[in-house]
Amino acid sequence: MDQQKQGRSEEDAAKAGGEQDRRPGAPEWVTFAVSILIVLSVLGSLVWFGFRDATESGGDGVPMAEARIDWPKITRRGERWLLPVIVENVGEAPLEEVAVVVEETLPSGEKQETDIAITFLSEKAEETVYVIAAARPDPKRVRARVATLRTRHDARGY
Amino acid sequence: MVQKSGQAWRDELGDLMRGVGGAAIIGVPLLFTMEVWQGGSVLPPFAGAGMLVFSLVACTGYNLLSGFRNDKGLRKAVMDAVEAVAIGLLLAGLVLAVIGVIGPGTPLADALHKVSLEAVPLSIGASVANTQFDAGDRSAEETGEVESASRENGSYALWKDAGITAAGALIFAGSIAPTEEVALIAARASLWHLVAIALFSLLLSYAMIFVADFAGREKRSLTPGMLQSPVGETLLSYAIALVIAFAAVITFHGVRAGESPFMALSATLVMALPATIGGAAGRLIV
Repeated sequence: MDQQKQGRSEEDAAKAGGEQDRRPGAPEWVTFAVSILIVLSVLGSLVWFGFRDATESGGDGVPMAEARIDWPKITRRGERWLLPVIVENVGEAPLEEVAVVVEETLPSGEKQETDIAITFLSEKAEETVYVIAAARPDPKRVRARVATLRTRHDARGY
Repeated sequence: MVQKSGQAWRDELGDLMRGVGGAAIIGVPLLFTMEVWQGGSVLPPFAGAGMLVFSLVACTGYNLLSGFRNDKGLRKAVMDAVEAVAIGLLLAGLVLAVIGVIGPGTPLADALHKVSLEAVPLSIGASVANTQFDAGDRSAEETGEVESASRENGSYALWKDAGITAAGALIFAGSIAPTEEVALIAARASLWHLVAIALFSLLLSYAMIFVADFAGREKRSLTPGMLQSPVGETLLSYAIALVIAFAAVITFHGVRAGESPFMALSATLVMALPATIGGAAGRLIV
């Protein structure tokens, strides 16, 4: 009987020890606290951006991109000129296949066009592409514009 | 008491690094996939938050049902899931930043959407590593690792490790090398990005093998030989990963005489990151 009792108490002690072992210690609590802070910060930001996107565009926002020539950064490379063109997504949706046209009006009045295609442009992102010209481009005669763009079906409400 | 507390922190760090290792092994091919980066940018409103909630639920479910630790209970399963998702988010953010997919110019919403999408497989990888590959509380002596480590002489262990590292690196590099992403990341990478990629590869390799609490860690630390020391083995395995990465770059992207060597170097360093993870994964398995 005593042996049985002793056996049971050893078992209980082992069980209690096991319970104690399973209880998270300080390192686990610290890791958990930092982890939950990271997860909640990201989750909260994503929910906030979700509300912002849903209310600003009302699920029907306008996709739009703009192209402009970065005149101060024009550079000469040997006989050629590198003309930087900044393409910016200023709309409310990510864009695909953004077609940019750089147009030069020649002294004769004739227009010469160079086409540029950008595969993907995230919302509010911008990309710089370069046009190579044989002569120094004249700011009065050269301009860049976005000709066409595509949005992905169901992207941010589309 | 102080010793016990120090051991508890080391154990926790080992557990965290095991999660990082698992996340890296499972998630690295997706971190190098352009469609996933773009997929993150075109997520509809609240889908990013939904991804995180899904990750938390999936990891909790996995922790509860994975079978090895039935005694853990719901509270521990939730705590581990939160940690796994945090690991997924941090690792995804870090790798995407290191390879130049996100940066100071990336809008915050876009970066968070990309990171939250990439974090799904990474979190699950962290959970799998934490539940299935725990070295547990058994010491190297108990598991017979001391005897086995001393039986393996230095040169045998060195060749074995080198071979396994090369095989693992080849598998990971082989699955990523043919893709356009390697050339894209390499072309966009600045010198600082390349330095960051190299340092990150070395640190990750070291952490996965010598800090993470995977089975066999103690045995690795006990194997004699300079190149079997933690720093020596990490450098050797990175050198092997670089060779495999260079071979993969030549095979799939080509290097022509007279071309600037910077592009080849850049592509090799980019390719060496998944190759290093593959090499570390190989050494963990065997």
